[in-house]
This record gives sequence, C-alpha cells and structure tokens, in this order.
Amino acid sequence: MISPLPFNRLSILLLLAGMLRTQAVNARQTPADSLYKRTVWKNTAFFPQGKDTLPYRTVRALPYMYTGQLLEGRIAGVSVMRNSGEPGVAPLPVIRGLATPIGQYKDVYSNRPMYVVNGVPLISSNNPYALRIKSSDFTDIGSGIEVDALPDMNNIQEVHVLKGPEAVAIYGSKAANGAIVITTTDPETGKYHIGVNLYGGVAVKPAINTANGSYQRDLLLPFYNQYATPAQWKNFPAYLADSTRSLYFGPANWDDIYYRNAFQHGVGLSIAGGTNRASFRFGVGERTENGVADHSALHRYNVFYDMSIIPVEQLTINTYVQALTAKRNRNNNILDRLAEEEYYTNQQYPLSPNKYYLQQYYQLLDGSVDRNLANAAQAIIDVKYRLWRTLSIHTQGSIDYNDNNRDLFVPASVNDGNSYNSLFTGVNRRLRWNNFLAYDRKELHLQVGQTLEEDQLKYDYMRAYRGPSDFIKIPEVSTDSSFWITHGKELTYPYKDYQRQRTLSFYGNASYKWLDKYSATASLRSDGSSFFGNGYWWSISPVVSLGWDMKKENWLHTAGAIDALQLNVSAGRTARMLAEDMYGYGPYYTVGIGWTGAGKVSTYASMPTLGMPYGDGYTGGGIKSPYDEHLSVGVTATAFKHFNASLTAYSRTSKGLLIAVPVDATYGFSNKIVNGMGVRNSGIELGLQGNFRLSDDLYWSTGIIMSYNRNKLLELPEGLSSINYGQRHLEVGKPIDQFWLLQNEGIYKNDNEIPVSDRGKPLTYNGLTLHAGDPRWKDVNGDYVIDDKDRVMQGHITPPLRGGWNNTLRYKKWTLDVSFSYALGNQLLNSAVANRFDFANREGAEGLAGVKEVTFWQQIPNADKYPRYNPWSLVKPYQPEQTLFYEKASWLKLQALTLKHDLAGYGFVKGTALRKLQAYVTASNVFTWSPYTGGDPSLVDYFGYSSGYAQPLPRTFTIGITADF
Amino acid sequence: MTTLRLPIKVLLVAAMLTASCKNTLEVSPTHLVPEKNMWTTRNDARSAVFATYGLFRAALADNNAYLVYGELRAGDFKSAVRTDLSAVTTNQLNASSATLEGWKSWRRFYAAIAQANLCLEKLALVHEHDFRYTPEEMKLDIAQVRFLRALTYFYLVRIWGDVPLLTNTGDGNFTPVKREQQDKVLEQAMLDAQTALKDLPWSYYGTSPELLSNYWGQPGNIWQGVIGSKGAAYALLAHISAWKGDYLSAERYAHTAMDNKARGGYNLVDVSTLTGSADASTFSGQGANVIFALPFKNIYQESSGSGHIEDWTLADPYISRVTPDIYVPSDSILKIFNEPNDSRYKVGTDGIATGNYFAGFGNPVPMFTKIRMPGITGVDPLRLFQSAIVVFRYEELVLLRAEALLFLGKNEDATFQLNAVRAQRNLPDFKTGNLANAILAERRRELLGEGWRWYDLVRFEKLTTYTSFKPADIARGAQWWPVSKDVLSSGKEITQTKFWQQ
Repeated sequence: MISPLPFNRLSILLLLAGMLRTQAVNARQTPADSLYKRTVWKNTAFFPQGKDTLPYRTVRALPYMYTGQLLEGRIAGVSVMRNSGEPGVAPLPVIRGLATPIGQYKDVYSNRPMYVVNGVPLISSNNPYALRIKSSDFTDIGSGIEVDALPDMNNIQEVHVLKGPEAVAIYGSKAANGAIVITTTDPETGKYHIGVNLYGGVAVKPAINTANGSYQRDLLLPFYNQYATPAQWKNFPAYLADSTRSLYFGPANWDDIYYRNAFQHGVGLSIAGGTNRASFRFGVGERTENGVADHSALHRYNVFYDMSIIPVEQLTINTYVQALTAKRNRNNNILDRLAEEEYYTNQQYPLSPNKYYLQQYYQLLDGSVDRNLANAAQAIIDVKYRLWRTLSIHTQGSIDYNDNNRDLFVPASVNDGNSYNSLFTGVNRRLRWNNFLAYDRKELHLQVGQTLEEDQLKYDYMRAYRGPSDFIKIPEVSTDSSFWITHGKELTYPYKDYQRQRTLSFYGNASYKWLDKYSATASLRSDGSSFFGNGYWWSISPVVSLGWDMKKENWLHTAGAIDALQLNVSAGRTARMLAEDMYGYGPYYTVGIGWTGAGKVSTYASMPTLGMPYGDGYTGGGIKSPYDEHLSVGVTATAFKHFNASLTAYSRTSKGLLIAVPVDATYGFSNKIVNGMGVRNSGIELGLQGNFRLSDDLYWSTGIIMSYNRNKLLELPEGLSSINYGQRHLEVGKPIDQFWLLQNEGIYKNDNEIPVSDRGKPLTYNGLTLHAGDPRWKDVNGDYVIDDKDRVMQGHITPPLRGGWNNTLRYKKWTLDVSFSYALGNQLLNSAVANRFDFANREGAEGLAGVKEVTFWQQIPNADKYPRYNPWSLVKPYQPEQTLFYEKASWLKLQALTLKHDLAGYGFVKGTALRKLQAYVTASNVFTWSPYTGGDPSLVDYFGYSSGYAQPLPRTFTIGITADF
Repeated sequence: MTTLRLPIKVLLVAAMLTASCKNTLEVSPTHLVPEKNMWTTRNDARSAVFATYGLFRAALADNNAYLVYGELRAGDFKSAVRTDLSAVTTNQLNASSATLEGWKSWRRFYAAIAQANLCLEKLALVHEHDFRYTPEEMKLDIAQVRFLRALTYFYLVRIWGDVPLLTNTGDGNFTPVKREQQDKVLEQAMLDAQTALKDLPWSYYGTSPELLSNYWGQPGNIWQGVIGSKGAAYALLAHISAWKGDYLSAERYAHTAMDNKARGGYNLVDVSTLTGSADASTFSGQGANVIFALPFKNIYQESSGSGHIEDWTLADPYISRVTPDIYVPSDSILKIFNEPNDSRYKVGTDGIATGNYFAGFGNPVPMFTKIRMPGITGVDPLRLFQSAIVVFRYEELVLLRAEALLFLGKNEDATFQLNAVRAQRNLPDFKTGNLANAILAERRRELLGEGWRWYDLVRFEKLTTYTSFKPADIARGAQWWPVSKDVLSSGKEITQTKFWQQ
C-alpha cells in the first residue's frame, strides 16, 4: 500500500490563489522585460566556477547514443569505462576517479554519476537491489539499457559536468559522484522554425584471425604430449578427436556471418515558435546504432515538448516533457544466456567455426525471443513568481518514470532440450518537488529552499524452465490460482521486489561579489533519507567557493600579455548517499538459505525461513552516511588573446565509506558491513587551448586536456591494513584499483630446479610442492611458500593519466573537427589468453567456466611467448592473476573526425526559407595505437580483465545534413 | 507590483518550508525485516527455526560438501575431468581451487549454529509478544534447534577436529574464538542432543505426549524423517558416542532407537526402495528406512541442480553429458561388491552385472546410479535433482550397533545385527572371518555415495590401510580438513591444522 505523498498541498493552493488574483489585475499589461532568460530555470547553476562545459557543437554530428560517449577525451577529469562495444552497453563516466573500490558489479552503482536534464536529476533504470537475486553479477538484470544516460542528442543545448562539491550542493547527496547536467535547446519566438538533422552511415566489419579445430588441436597437443597422464589423454576434447569432421575442421569462416557491416542512421525534427508571452519547441527523433557483431543493435525513438508561458508579468511557467523508447538487440553470447538462466547446459561441444554449421545454430536461435525494451518519460513544470522586485519564489515539480523490460525465450533445441523463459519488468518512478525563494539584488544572490523526492522502484521477474514446446513462448498461469497452465509449477520461479526512498532536503545558497573582483558562494544543505531507518537520517553538506579576478588588481591590470587571470578555490564536506536500503536499518533478517548454484531456494520442507544475512554480511545499528571532503584550487588564464589555460588541483577525501570487513567465521557471517573506509582521490586537471587565425579564411582552434588522478586507500575500518574485497585486494596506502599478482619468472624445467630451504623444505605453492612444468613464481618474502603474501600490488585499472586533444579547423565554409583521446599508465590482465591456456580446467567444464563463444575460434596473439606449463597441475599455472598476463594498456585513439560544409551561401539555397544548411561526414573510432596485444584496450571490464567476450568498438562512418528553416 | 496581500505571501512562504520530516522519512523497508519487527509473531518463530534447518542443509549441500567430507577422500570415487575433485580423492587438499576454498571454510556450518543460538536466545520473545505461540510449541522448537546445533557440531568435529565452540550469538560483537578441544565440543553436542531428546516426539502425528497437535498445522507425514525426532536424536547420540570411542553408550542409544522403530516409523527396506526414484524411496528423504534426512522436494521448489550427488555422478542418458564428474572404477566395483547374490550389485562370473548401484560396468567410466532422484522425468530432463541428503537411516544404525557390539567384544550379537542387514540385501549370514572387516565392508557397500566412508575409516582406524597417510600423518591431523584462507585471516585465534601447515 502506497501512502499518499506528503507533498505540501497547502503551498500549491496558496500559490494558485495568488496566481489567479494577480492575473485579474495584470491581464492587460505587457511584459516589461520581454525575454526572461529561460536557461535560468533549466540550469540553476549557483556555482558558476564549478562546472566544465562540453563544446557541444563539435560533437553534435557524431552518431553517439550514450552521454558517456560525448565526454571521452573532451572533459578533463572524466574517465570513461566501457566493457563492451556492443550497442546498448552503456559506458560508465567516472568523474575524478573511483570513489569506492569496485569489487563486484554492483559497486558500479556507487561510482555512477548523476544524470540531470533541465535541472531534474533522473532516476536510474538499473538498480543494485535487483541484482541480489542473480548468482553471477557481470551484467545488469533486465534490458541493460540505461535510459538516464540516453539523451536526445539533437536537442542538447549544453552539457556541463559538475565534478566537485557543487554537485551535491545543487542536487543533493545522490550526486556525490558528480553530475552530468544536460540543458535542452530553448524554444524560439517568432515564426515557426523547423530544424532537421539527418544522417546515415556504416560501421565497418572488423578483420580478425580466425582459427578452426586444427589450430586448437595444434595448440593442445604439445601440452598433452608433454604432460598428460593416460587418464587425461582419455579426456582429450572429443570435438578435436576426429580431424575429418568438417564441423570443427572445416574452413574457419564463422566471421562471415558473425560480423557485418552495420548500417547507422538517425533523424531529428523539431519545430519552434511563439510570442514573447508563449513559446514552444517540439521535436521527434530516431537514432539507430547497429552493431558489427552478432546482429546487435540499439534503437532509440524520442519526443519532447518544451513550452514557456508568461501569463502575467511576474509569473513565468515553463514546462518540459520528454519521452523515449529504446530497443536493444542483444548479443547471443552463451555466457550471457547461461548466466541469465542459471542453468548450465552441456559445454563439451563448442559452436562450429564453420559458417555452414554455425548458420544452422543461428537458425535454431531464430526461434528464440530476446526483447529488450526500455521506456522513459519526464515531465517538468517550473513556476516562477516574482513576489517583490528582488524576491521571487520558484516551484518545480517533476515526474520521472522509466521501465526496463526483458522478455527472453530460449528454445529447447539450443538448450539441452529444455526451453527457458524469463520476463523482467522493472519500473522506477521519481516524484520531485522543489521550492525555493530567491533574492537577487545586484551582486547579492540568495536562495533558500526545500526538496522532496520520492523514489519508487519495483520489479517483477519470472523464470520458467522446460515449457511444453518451442512454439509456446510465454508461461501462462491460470487466473484464479497459482496453477501454471504451460509450465510445471516446480519449474517456475517468480520474484518481485520493491524499494522506496524518500529524500527531504533543505538548502540555502548565497553568493556575493564585491569590488568587482572577489566573489564568494556558500551553500548549506541538509539531506534526510529514509534509507537510514536507524535514526541517522540527516546529513549536512556545507560548500564554499571563492573567486578572485586578479586581472582587476592594479598590479596585473597593466600586464598586457595577460588578458584574464582568475583564481578559484572551493571546499566542502558533502554527504554520499547509499546505493541501497540494506544497511541503514540496523541488524535485520532476510531469506538466505541457498547454496552455490541454488541461491533461489528459500524454504525448508515447504516451511518459509527467515534468518540473519549470514552470506551477505552483518549490519550493525550505527551505519551513517559517508561523506567527502573536497578541496580544489584552480587558475584560469587568458594570455596573448589566443591562449586559454586552466589548471585545477583537487582532492576528494571520502570518509566513512561502507565496506564489508571479515569477521570471525565462528559467528556464521561472511563479513560485516561498517563505515570506516577512507579513499582519497587527488589529481590535476590541465586544459590548454589556443585559437589561431592562420589566415583570413583559416582558423584553427586546438585544445589539450590532461587529467591526472591518483587514488589511495587511506584507512580501513578497525585498523585493518589490508582486506580482500570481492575481486579486489585492498591495502592501506595503496590505490584501490590495483592488481594483486604473482611475479612470474618462467618455468621449472626439472624437479631439481625447485628451490629447497636450508631446512630441506622444498618450495611449495600454498603447501603444494612444485614440480617440473610449474611456473617459477617469485618467493617475495623468501619463506619457501608461494602464497598470497608473495602477491604484489601493482598497476592501475583506471588510467592515471587520461585526456584528449581536440581540434577545430575552419576554412571558409568548411569545418573540420578532429578529436583524439588517450589513456596512459593503465594495465590489464589478458584473461582471454589465460583462459585459453587453462583448458585443463575449462574444456567441457560445467558452469560458466566451460563456455566457449564462437569468438573462441580466434588465434592467440603471440601465443609463443607463454611458457608451456603443466596445465593439469594443481597449482593453477595459468591463473590470470600473475604478471604473465599483465599487460600495458595505454592507448591513443583517433576517436572522431567531422567534416562539415556550410551550404547556406550557395545559389540553390537562396530564395528558400532555409536559414542554415550544412552537410557533414564523420568518422568515429578511426584508429587506436596501443602496446596491448589482445584487442581494444579501452574495452575492459570493471575488474581489469580483458576477457575477450566484449564486442569490438567498430570504425564508423556517417554522412548527414542539418537544415534549419 | 504588490498585488498579493502580505499575509498571504508570508503564509505561502511559511507553508512551503514546512513538512513533517519524521513521517516523511519513516519508510519501512520491503526486502528486509529489521530487528524490531522480528520475534513478534508466531510465524517469526517458525521461520527462524526452519532457517536453522535450511542453513544446515545449505552447509552440507554447498558443492556437495557432505560427500566431499564424508566420502571422496577415501578414494572409492575417482574424478577424471575435475582437478579439484581429483585433488580431494588424492588428499591434496592444498590444491588451488575456489571450490576447495569453499569446502575448507566452516562458515556455513557456523551460520547454522549462529541461527540456532539466535533462536535459543530469542524464541522466548515471541512467546511474550504472541500468546498463540504456546509454551509447548516453544519447547518443541527449542528442542529442534538444539538437536540441529548438536548435529552441526558433530559434523564440525568429524571434519575439522578441534573447532571453536560457541553457544551464544555475540550480538554483533565478533570477539575472536579459539579452537576448543574436540572432546569439549562433543560434550556440548551430547548435552544438546540429550536435552533435545526429552522434548522431541517420536513422530508428528499429534499423538506423542510431546506434541498433541499437528506441528505447524501440517499432517504428520509431511514431517516424517525430515525434522528432528527422538529417533534422530538417539541416532545422533549413538554416533557421537561411537566417535568418542564410548561404544557402551553408542550401543545403548542405538539399541533404544532400534527398539522404538515402530514408534519412530523407520525400518529396514529392500533394495528397490533404497535405489528407487519413487516418492517413497530412501532418497526422497522420506523412505521407510529414513531416520533423519534433509529433503529437497520438487513440489516445494526446493530441488536444484547443484548440491546433489547426481550432479556429479550422472551422464547420458540421464542428463546431457558425456562423462560424469566422479565415478567408481570397474575394478573398485569388483572389490567392493565381491559377494555373489548381493541384491545391490553383483557381477557374475560371466561378467554380466545386475543391480541398480551402477550402470555401464566395464566401461572406462561406469556411472554410479544408486541415487537417482531427478526433479524432472521425460526426454532430455532438466538437470534438476531432489535427492535428499540422508543423515541417518535404519540400516546404517543397525550396522553402527553391530560395530559397537563388536568393539564391546560381543561378537555374536554384532554378527546378528550385521546379518540382519545382509539378509535384507540377499546375502548369506556372515559366519567366519574378520568381523570388523566384514562390518566395514558391509557399511562400504550399503552406504556408498552417502558420505560415510571417510568417517568409517577413521572410526575403524583404517586410514593407513586405505590411504597413503602414515600413522605420523594421522597424529598430526591428516584426517581433518585444513581451514580456508578466509577462516584463518578472519579468525584471529584460529590456527591451521598441523598436518596442513605449509
């Protein structure tokens, strides 16, 4: 039962009463100031210094879908992580470094920035609470589309990134990871204006070195010849046994049907018009990104309506409504499918590398259903009423709705004779009410206000196995009972969950400028969240920002070379919202009696169960909101008229972060969750820009962005100095994104090479004596035992240095934008290769470890450089977590080229209603330079592994036209 | 400009800034039960007690742990395809593998103990809050929980030897606990089992003095064999005593349990019930010979792919797979089933094998088919199994009594008990030979695949015969499992078993 919202109805009534009264008096007056600056409501940027602005016109023509793609290499301090080039898989923009370590997939949510459209923080369509029912968590449940990061690229006016404490000051503690603020294009007054943008293009099929059964056989045989026992020979992969079978030994031409040249297209239409009193903009759009691999695609359709009316002089009403629907064609990866099914089919026979046979498999797959759909709609109303000359009251209300759907049917023919159905529907809704009083007089601006947000998240998820036939693709239930018509009741698992959060915030902002050179902005905000049922509801976030325009000082006033010099300092202590409601209620009880591979079992002998969260971890009563301490100092300067430079040094110290720490297993808990982790991100962001007029017609603008970020684990709770956290090992004083690796130094060729201690004890790996054929791992601490103590923290998953080089060349009516992005100092683990060599544990293995995609049929780059260990050795010689698979992954990418040509001056345009006509061609992801051998190093999972499952980022070319009537 | 009256404006602003904070922020969570809402109604007690059962079941089912601890190390089963399992069958427990780390961790057992401790501390609160939760029900629930705690500690001692002993929840304080002498732990287990014994009924048909109504409103057959009963408590006490070497007590407890077989509803069964797949077969968990078993019934959606021996032992045509993960080699089969006319399994002189224990005798990898409880029948069945983990059953108890009598020097009585089981399996009476070996061999045959063999070898002190361990290894604790890295690093007071120290 949803209780009514405690929104303040009295205030609405009073406001309405006031409006009606004013209207009667003022109806015949005309507005004195005709154009109220509308962007003011869309972007209440109270901290002008705190944001970075994307030069949007340089990216407008590119066929991008997700916000994250816009920011790569174009905004200092934003590092984009992407684990696949597949359309629909959203990149994760990380702002000023990881705030908290990513030890498991759901930690991504704790590092995700907030997306804001026209002042309204959007609710995410994927949420960690839904992941709790999955036993393997490398992807989101549902469609995987992130609607909040999927803006209408045709309708963007500005993109700002708030990187520091200002994000929280403006949008509250949910914006602790920064905010990406999108402002849409305003309505225009006058006669109707029509805008059209149209493009089409192609993503080019990649070239790869395919392999077939004989390659794999030649790879395995030397290992068998050298190490295999008769029993192991018996298990030589059956699919490689008969080299006359064309199924595995035919031509390796699977790439012909797996990859394709993929068509890209998009169209945007808008119409705007109106008077000073009322104006509007309306638009529709479509964009399709077809993937080059596996027939993946993302389609997006959207519509918006933007309207501004000034019914009476003091009153301005702005409304903005947008809606989108997105459809994703997903990959057909077996891994993804089995992880979704949590039912592991027989993996002894991989897919065929030959397209004749592979085609047959795809024909079987044609009987499947994999619908991935997401919808979103936002409606915003902003009412501004001027009470007195300098005092106005604003009321903003918004409704944000999205849903996230996946409907999956896997036919029995590809699923060991058992069909599988699942249906996920997630619905998320945010109601937001923001009221504030604003006082604006000359150099003084004051705001005081209150925000109430109610988030409601829910999902329904249903899985059913073994339907009656491959033609019945939905499970049907009798309406009058829980009696399943199509599926066995014991094979049908329904799940649902619901999460509600209310956030009540009070805030006050003040800014003042004096002597025309000093400015100060201060903000105090208190956010109360219902996630803290333990009584620690409230958090306080003060932020101060100071500016000093040094050019106005006498001593610099005369310096001719320097045109502008501004110093900014900002500091703050801002709260950080928890990603889930599991921690703030003190000790709790839940259902958790499952075991590995059977997490869903919830009853014993039909009886329901309720116990403490032994597997998830104990939560004590004192969980509070973590907070970040910010300090940043920045200088911006303009010199010799053409050079702009900005330099910012920042530090963000996150304290009281939640972390699972181990507890004595005797108490039954795997860990307990406590506040007390501290992480500092510090860095320097440098922007250099030059604008040059090379000749009368030739103009060149170039900008280099460099951001250097280091993170460091300052402390762990209870004085711990190191901890294993999911897939990460953390050590105090070290970065939170390091690898923890054994140092590989070759191979023991003979048993007598194994070192023996003075006391006659041979070197062991965790107590297991090493033998010939085992890796020569460095015994770092010299205790003749190779174990975790000999692992060394090294490397970085997130590049310490990241940035871009962006150029615009203009010659007469031609404009060329060239954009590079780069990452320096990062590494990754080539688990794709490690897993190939680890065939002894993976060939035919059950569960996800044994899965081979069709992309398995590729040659291993530099296969010769890896020593030939005994793959059956119990020391796991080919574990990826060793320096053998550790590779440098720095890269430089020519990420975008755009050539635009203005047609407006040509004869055929004259005499038409065209105000602007521009044709353009683009090329994206043109080239990547990297020392990394295993593919595109910018595609890595959040844990630093390059698993080879990712779809490549294709080279894409488009041609398009923009017209304004 | 000033068209609104001042009071209205003031009101407007004031109204805007007021909202009742407390009510706004009090939102009840929907996917967890905070402490203050727990232990208030009768159903909370029920859910908490059955969570203890569920956690104990999870501890034993996790990657077939019960089988790994109780059977694989003894080497009757081999694995060709899984390095982690072959490491166990060859007793290389330091091998690198995530599953091995899981088996080396005792956390799941202690989760069951923690839940039991929690119930013992808090069940009284339910009685205070909800009058419907009668003292009789509470007494019985406490007995269930104590029975489980005793059983869990017994498993812990059998697997790890000296283990920490904890009888309270700690209430959020996780003070490190030391390993306790196994005698002390077993003493606590005995105490718990004896206490439980008093309040547990023989059966749940509403006719026992301990329980004169239906337990949780369910008919008695629902509970038969799958929750604690007097019979199960006696069997447990007999086993703890035998493990301690106190065969006098072991015999006494086993004797009592056997004398009351009619009240307890268990008896010897024939091979068709033992190896059948029907609802009343042994591995449904409710066969007529089951004293206590952990069920995984399909009809309650408790069946699963993992946590069942079938997941490792079956292959085509039962499930889609070429080679099973573990198997008993043909020559071992011949050694184990070395008597003619054994109705469980026999290989005739003509090489023709009969019986349900195995399929494909003579193949390089025969299939162990004794336990086969598919959740699904039909063509291409889904890998979903519902075989129960049978903790105690009657044949096993009879053999335990035979063993106790043997060690008490009552060979004649021991032979009598042994022959009761042998007769049931179509074998002639044992007459001459080494009685101890005969009992051990009979247990091996009867209980193959049920997770007993390793414990039997320990009790009979035959580890050095059947494994490569030397007496010195055993003295250093080779019979125990090592503890995992996680347990060692989180338990400040926990030390590695001597034999497994690196």
